[in-house]
Amino acid sequence: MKLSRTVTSFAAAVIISGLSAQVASAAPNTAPPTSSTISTTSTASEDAQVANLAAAFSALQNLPENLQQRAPSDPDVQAWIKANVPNPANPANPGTVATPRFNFFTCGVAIAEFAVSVGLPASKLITIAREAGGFTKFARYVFDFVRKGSLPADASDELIDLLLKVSGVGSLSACL
Amino acid sequence: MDVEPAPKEGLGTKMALALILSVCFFFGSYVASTIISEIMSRRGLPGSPLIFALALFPFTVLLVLFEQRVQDSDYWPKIERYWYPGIVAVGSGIPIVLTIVAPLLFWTSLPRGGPIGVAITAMIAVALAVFLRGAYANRKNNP
Repeated sequence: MKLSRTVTSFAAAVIISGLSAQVASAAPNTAPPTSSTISTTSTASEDAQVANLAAAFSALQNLPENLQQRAPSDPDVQAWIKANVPNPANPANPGTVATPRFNFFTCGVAIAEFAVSVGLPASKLITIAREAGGFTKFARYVFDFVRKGSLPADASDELIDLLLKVSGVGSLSACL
Repeated sequence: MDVEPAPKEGLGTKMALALILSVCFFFGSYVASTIISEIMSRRGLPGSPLIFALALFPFTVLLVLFEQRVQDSDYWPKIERYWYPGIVAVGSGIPIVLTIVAPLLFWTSLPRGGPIGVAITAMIAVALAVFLRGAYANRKNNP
């Protein structure tokens, strides 16, 4: 929950920062400004950008709970940002959101989370075998389930719950 | 799910139990093995965990035959703490070590990330096959 909120906020920050960079790069270059106009204009535009960014960040804090759990690239999240987060380039006109680019940190966290949950079922094996009362008993439960579609009498309800939770097939029990 | 008494086991059943344990130990480490192989910038599926899974089968047969006796023995309370992690370390830990030191790569034409995909797909396919077979048997026995 916290992680997804952080990721969503981070991605939104990247979007807004990208827009700010676009604003900075889109500075008028029609006429060569004098040094005094440069300092005045840049200070004013920086202040405006800071104010716009602050407004955008405060708007992001109102992101609904259901959207916080989704990916930043989700169309609903994008639509909400477009509708509610002011565009630093033009605060009067929300929208113009840049597509988030590949982020090494968020990608690394996602891969690590996935690897731990899927790639290391060895720790799950220990938990299940211990709860079943031995590796052989666990294998017998699997064997009986495959052959008869039922579990032996000595399989406790706690073990069955654990198997469903740990194996991740609990949600599939509706198919039985 | 229905519950019924456990039947008397013959040699074939014990072999099947040993096979189930071998498969569980193999898949307990193979996804991690492919991830490690990928991190080490190697191409292809690591073959040493597969060979180890075959070599492990006699060990799992012994496990099925003697685990109950070990659990009934007097020294069981002393070794219980180390029994489960120790056996999983042998069954699933050694293949990971083998992947690092002697991967014996095959199917090296797979693109990057392909071996992880193959390993995960195989694991899900086996789990799904077990589940569907059980569901079919359950419906057949309880129409």
